[in-house]
Amino acid sequence: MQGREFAGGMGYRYGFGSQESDNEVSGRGNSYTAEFWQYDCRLGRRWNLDPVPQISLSDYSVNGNNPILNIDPNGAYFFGLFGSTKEQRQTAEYTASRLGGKVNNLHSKSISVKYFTQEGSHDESGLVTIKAIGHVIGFDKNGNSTNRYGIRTEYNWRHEYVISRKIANGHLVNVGTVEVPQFVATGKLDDPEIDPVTLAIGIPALARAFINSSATVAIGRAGSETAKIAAETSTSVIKGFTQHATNQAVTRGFKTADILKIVREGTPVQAAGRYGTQTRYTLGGNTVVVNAQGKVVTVFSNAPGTAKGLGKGHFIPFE
Amino acid sequence: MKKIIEDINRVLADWNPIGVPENIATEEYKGYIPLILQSIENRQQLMNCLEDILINKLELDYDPTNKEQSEDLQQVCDKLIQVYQKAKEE
Repeated sequence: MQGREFAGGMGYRYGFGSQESDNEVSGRGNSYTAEFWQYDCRLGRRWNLDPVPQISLSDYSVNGNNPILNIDPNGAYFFGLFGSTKEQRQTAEYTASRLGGKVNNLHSKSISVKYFTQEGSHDESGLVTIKAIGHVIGFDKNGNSTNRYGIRTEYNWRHEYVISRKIANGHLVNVGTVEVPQFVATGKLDDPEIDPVTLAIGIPALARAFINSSATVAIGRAGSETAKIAAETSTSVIKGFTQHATNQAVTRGFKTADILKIVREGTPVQAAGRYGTQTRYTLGGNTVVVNAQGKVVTVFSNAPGTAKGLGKGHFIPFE
Repeated sequence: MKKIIEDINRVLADWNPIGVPENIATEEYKGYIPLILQSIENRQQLMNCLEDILINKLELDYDPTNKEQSEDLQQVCDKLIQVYQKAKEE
């Protein structure tokens, strides 16, 4: 705050958050520097974009907008002073890698891991139906977890998970293994109701499952004659989404149904890049790039966006 | 800091491993800048990071034994290190 300053020796170089004062920038005590930021304490904002952006926060925010509860020693990650512990974070990350899931709120008090399991089946007409079952596990400060159904997972010294269920009187009963209840996302791959978030989390898991079982997710009705022919042609079959494609689909507003429509009805063009061959499907100014293995690599459009580039490459709705 | 981010983005857009149109390339690879910043001080780590992006994130056909691909990646690595060293000097 302007007009207030620490009156220690002039040779002392450090101030707020033990970070180095940068008095030459905007006066004494008004600017601090660290490895990943230049911080203006009068604004409570950083000059540079956060190198590790979070969707819920401005890229110019610092300490998660809470300088009392959070610290950020080098300007890259903020940590809750009264929030997550090292054990909590490590266990969450380990669990996420083990389950192929994603850690949410890594540095806040409430860390959780979201992951999907999936079931696939064919009906009589050959339509491929995928059911994605989402799970969330939360972790406490000791790295133990209890989900919202009262099922507790304790991480023990033998690096094992002991799973138990809380019963009415508050006691825990060991149940050994547990089927964590479903919370989201049942649908079909070409279901227009599946939203980008489901796509983002669900599709990689689906892709993994199908690749592991050597199955093929054909677009459309796999049982129909046309689809059978298409399934035999690798370029007409999507076997999954790369992580990059999933991120771009969410960022650029491409839904599952849009991508499938572009691949199904768009104009295919084969291209040989430096890193393998690709097939590009274009429809209504939207493009889907599929690699030789049948995975969607990226999606984009020719939308120019605003003068500042906002919306550039975003999905162009079909007429 | 802003400049180094812009410079890294420019190197990635020029590299453009997927081969998207030029105007899209400037937005396509921004998400990997934090990863690159974390390993830019060490050449081997940076190479590993770029390989990880190619193999695991983009899932392109990268073969480290392919001379052309390997040299392409080495050049990108060199350019990124130059950007970092230039930023450090400034």
